[in-house]
Amino acid sequence: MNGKDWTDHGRHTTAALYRNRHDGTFEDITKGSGLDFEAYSLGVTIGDYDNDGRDDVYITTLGGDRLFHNEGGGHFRDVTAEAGFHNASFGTSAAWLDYDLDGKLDLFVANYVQWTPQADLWCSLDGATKSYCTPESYKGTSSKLYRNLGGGKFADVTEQAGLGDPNGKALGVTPFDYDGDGWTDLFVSNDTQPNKLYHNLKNGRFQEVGLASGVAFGEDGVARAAMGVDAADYDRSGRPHLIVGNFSNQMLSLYHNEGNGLFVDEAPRSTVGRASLLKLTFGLFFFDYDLDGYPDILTANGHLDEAIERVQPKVRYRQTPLLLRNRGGGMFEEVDAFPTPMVARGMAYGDYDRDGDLDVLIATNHGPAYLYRNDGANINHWLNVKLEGTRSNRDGIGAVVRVTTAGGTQWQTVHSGSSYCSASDLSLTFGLGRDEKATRVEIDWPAGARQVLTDVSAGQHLVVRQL
Amino acid sequence: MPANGVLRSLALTVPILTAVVLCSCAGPVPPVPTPQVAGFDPEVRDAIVTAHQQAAADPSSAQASGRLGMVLQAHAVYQPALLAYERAIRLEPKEFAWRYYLAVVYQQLSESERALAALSAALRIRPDYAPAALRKGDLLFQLGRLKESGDLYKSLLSEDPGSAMALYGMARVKFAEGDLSGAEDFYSRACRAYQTFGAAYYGLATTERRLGKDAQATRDFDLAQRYAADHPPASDSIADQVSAMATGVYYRLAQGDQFARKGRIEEAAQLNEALLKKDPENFTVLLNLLYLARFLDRFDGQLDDLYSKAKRINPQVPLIYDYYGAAMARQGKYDAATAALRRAVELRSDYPEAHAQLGEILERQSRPDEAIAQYRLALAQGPDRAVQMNLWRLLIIHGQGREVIPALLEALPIEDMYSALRLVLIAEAYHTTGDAAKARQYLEQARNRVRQEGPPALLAQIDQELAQVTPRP
Repeated sequence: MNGKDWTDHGRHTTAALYRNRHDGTFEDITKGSGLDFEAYSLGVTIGDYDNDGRDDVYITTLGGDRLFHNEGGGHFRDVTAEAGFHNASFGTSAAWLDYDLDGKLDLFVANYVQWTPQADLWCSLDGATKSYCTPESYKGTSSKLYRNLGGGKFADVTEQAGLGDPNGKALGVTPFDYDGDGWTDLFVSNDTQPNKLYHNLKNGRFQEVGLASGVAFGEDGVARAAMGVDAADYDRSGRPHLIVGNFSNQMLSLYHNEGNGLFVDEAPRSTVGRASLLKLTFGLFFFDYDLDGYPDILTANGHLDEAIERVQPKVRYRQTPLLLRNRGGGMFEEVDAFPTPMVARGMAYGDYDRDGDLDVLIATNHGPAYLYRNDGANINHWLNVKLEGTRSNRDGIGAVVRVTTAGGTQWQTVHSGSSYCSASDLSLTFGLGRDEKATRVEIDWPAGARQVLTDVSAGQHLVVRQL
Repeated sequence: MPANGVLRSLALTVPILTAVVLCSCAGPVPPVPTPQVAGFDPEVRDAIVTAHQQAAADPSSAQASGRLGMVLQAHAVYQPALLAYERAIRLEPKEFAWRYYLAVVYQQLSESERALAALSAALRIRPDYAPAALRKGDLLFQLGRLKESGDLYKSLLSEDPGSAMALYGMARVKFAEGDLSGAEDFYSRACRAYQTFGAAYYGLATTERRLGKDAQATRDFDLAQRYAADHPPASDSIADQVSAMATGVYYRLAQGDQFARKGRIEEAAQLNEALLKKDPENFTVLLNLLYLARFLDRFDGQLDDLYSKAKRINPQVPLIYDYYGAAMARQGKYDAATAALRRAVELRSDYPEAHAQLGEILERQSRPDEAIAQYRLALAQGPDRAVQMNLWRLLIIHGQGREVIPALLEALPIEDMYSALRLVLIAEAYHTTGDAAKARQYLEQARNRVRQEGPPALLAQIDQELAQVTPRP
């Protein structure tokens, strides 16, 4: 999303919508699309909330988020008010999920702090020039959960769902099922406040278990400045683990799910921690960039303060993205694939050239977006699975897909949100390594139905419709 | 490599090493650094300029150069501080403090390896200085050098077995090495050595969880939360000498903010008053004092003066009116408070605190309809359980109990400080609808809860209300 320029330069920015021309280029079709509204927007999440087969758009915006209904033909209609949304609380990341398994997508919106231009405070790193104040200077604000009532209407159920947290300073959210009970839980990353892990109680309510599960604080019992977040099974343990982006000198958190409700941060003892120590990470995710069947980690980095190098010369304002290749066995190694330093914020993946491997888009502060085409993974085989729910939500969000090859079984969940203020492709890409087929593809739809395909050839974009 | 190759290689290496050693010990003394002071507030600038002049006037004085380093470090001017300390070390290589300060600055700059080298050099001069050894142990831990870190903590504990910080450091090493029972032992000892050590309780609880001791873990997580901000005092008298040199408006403002956060209101006020004397037009100081005025009687006389000055400087800032309104309300001047708060919400309609505060004052002025409207406006900005309770209570008092029952029932499962009060409110709401049985049912639930968790004052109220809804024999 583009931030609105509040200076007097006369530049007015809007969201931007690009149509893929299928030849490796894009066409800017923002004008007249309905998304050409001026605002200071931060994040976006994509989901077909009314199950009409067209993906809709929710945009977090300082001063009031917006929901746009996809009308088809490249046109979107602002339905914020009629749908029942009222979130003017510095929304950041957002995620669609079906927390009550009723087949309709609900929405979680992470909210940051109570800030307005009028209530801005003066802070300084060096006593002379203005810089961003630390979040401690501002009061927190609760994130929100909107329940989809059907008929295009939503209700704010934050409090009754047990998600009210007036001290929250949330920047990231990932819906995931950490205990494997089939009900989507939520991890919310907070800046200088404890992270929250909300366990879905299967009755419309959540219970906060962040502290007892070990994800609320760093190893030293202090809340970090957490931003982006994602979840995946990086070690084929059958459980989803968490990766969280933090401030410089705090390193990433790599919370390994031990399977008993407890997570252990593996970063300090691994390459993940050492390689990320000086990075200030916003967007990040697990994705199998080399299609070897093991999720790798990519982080988008960049400091807040242009003057940081004067105070801490080893920490850069512009930082390179960090790619950590999964070597298997829970081990990662740093790969030098992104040499350009930038002030990165949001980051998403998708296969824009349909060659099977995952490409990356990075948004930056005061700079262009960077689109990276992945050309390095073509020696391995792949399978892309897109789900089409019929009784479940149309996007299949919350469904688990397990792919078995000669090399073993891997799995992913269709999930929205994750990273920072970004939306990645909802179809799932599985790296098959040297295996030319999947012997079994198993889909567990959100409400419990299982669908199985056998002997599926690699190298195809598979669409699976719920039976 | 053939033998003669090894010898040739050694022959080249020895002179290079000798040159390196000579450079580090006896090379030319670097010049006195000249820091840029443009943009600093006058007090800080003066302190830096004075220290610089003294160092330049006496170039052979390690004390003068070291002092310049300290002044620069105290104001976060780290790069020139490094140069000043390097210079002091050349002039006085056996002084512990310069090497120690150098290490601390390198740490600030995220230069962990250099910090470690400087700390090691400092500790060779004063191996008995525990704060430096603790710092080194922590650095080694951060660098993943767990064995060296553990050895250092072990040596510290042999000198002082009750050192909470050394016990904590050792526990972290044990945990990182996967020795959970060792970690549990050292975390427990750290908690005993300093009984409100929040981070140690957190480590202990995390370890207990991994050991499957869930009941102990729950207890210790609670203690970790209760003592989250507490840790053993640093007692680093040498580092404190640098902190004592910090001056300037921003440092003092931060100090005042810390006082206020810790509830040391009078100290915060005095500090801001001193700042105002030096800089009567400082808007942040004026705002701070307006905020603090709600807690202190002695500000009553000067409140209007502070308010006028702040309005003159920047009349569009809603905080001025919010803070002034709160202070006037404390004095019982509700009309003036209401007027100020109305101005605050006029300037910023999405200002939940001001709406909530206005609601409370209107309630005290017996203007329930307006109070209800303000509470609703506050809640429209986002959930706030205290405001929600106020709104429900007011609605029940004014005959709208039936309206609030569904919302209260929905909120009943929420576990927080209002849980018992919610039961009382729902009972009162049922009572207003004439359903005495339901009222009694919820009051009894509330009584059971309050008996276990308190507060006792609420118990008396519940008993009184129960007497009203219980039929007499």
